[in-house]
Amino acid sequence: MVSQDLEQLFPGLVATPYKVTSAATVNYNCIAWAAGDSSRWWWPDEFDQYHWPEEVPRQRTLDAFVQAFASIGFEECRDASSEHGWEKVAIYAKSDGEPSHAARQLRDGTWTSKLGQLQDINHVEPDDVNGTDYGSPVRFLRRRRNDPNPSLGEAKP
Amino acid sequence: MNAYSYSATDPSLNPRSNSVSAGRYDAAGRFARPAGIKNSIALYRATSLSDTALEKVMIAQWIPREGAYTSDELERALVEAALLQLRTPRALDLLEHWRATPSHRPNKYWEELQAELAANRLTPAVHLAQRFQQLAQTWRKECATLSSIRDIATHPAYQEIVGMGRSAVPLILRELEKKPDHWFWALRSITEQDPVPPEHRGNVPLMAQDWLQWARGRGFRW
Repeated sequence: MVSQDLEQLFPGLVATPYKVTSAATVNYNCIAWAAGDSSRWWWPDEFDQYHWPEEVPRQRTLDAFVQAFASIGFEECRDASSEHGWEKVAIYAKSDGEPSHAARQLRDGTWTSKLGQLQDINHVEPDDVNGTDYGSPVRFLRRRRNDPNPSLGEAKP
Repeated sequence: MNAYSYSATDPSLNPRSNSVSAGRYDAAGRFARPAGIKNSIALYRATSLSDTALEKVMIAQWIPREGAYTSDELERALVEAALLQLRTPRALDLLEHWRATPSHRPNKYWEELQAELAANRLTPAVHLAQRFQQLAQTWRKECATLSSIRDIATHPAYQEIVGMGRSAVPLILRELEKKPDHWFWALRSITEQDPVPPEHRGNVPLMAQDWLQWARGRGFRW
C-alpha cells in the first residue's frame, strides 16, 4: 500500500510528516508492536486463538488493555509528552469505548504505529492516526527504558 | 400486467424449490398459477445468479410494493441482474437492448439473451469459488487497518464465507497455504475444531501451518 492510500485511510497523515518503516505483514498487530513483540498478534478474542497475557482478562475493555501493558512493566501516566528515560504507549478507543489501537513513543519523542495488517509507520503525534478506525488516544502508559539497546522500530545509534 | 400477491412463505419464491404449484384462487374459485413467476425462477435456474443476488432482486421488487409485484417486473429485474453479473461484452450489449425495450416479450433479443445466459452458466463449485474470492477480496480491503479479531471476523463478507459451511473449507485452506491470514475464526466456527496448541496462539504463520497439517490429516483436499 502506498503512502497516498494510507493518507486516505488516515487523513491526519496528510498534513504531517510520517514515514513507512516496514512492509505490510499479518504476523503482528498494533498491540503487539506497542508491547515490543513483532512475532505475534495480540488480541483478547473470545475463541482464545490469539496471544493475550495469561493473567489478564480476555476482554475488549480499556482496563484489560491497561492490565495487558502493566503485565510487561507499564504504568498509567497523564499524557503523551516526552519524558527522558521513559517509554510511553498510547491506547486508542472509538466512541463506544472499546480499544482499537496502540502506538509506542520512540526515544526521539515521535511515535510508531503498526496499522492493522498494513505497515508500521513513524508519526509525529499520537493524534495523527485518529479517525473512524481507531478513534483517538484515551489512555497513556509508561515504563522505564532499562534496555540500553534501542526498542523495536528505533534507529540504532 | 397482472399483479400477484404472495405471502413471505410462498414456496414459489424459493428458487431452489421444485414446487411450482403456488398460486392463488381467482374469484371463480379456480386455482391460478402465476406463469410469470415460474418463468422467472426457470430463468434464475438457467443463470449463474447467486442466491444472495437473487434475494436482493426479489427484495428490491418486493418491499416497495408492500408484498406485491408483477411477474414481468421480477423477470425483468432478474434478467438485468444476471446480465450484469455475467459482464461479458455480449451480455452488456444485450442488457442495453433489454433496457431500451419497453415490453420485453416478445423481444427479438429474447432467444439470444437466454442463450447467452445458458452459455455462461457456472457450475455450483465454480460459482462458490468465485463468490468466495469476491468476498475474500472485500474482507481483506475493508479490514486491512483493523486489529480487533472480533471486528475482522464479524465483517459481513467474512460471515458470508462462514455461512458457506464446509464447502468453504478447501477454499480457505488454499488461501491459507498461499498466504497466512485471519481465517482461524472461520475454520473453527465451521469445523468446531482448533488444532493450534497454546504456545502457537497469535503466531499467524504457525497457526496456519497447524491448520493445514490438521486438514491434511483429515483428508481435506484443496
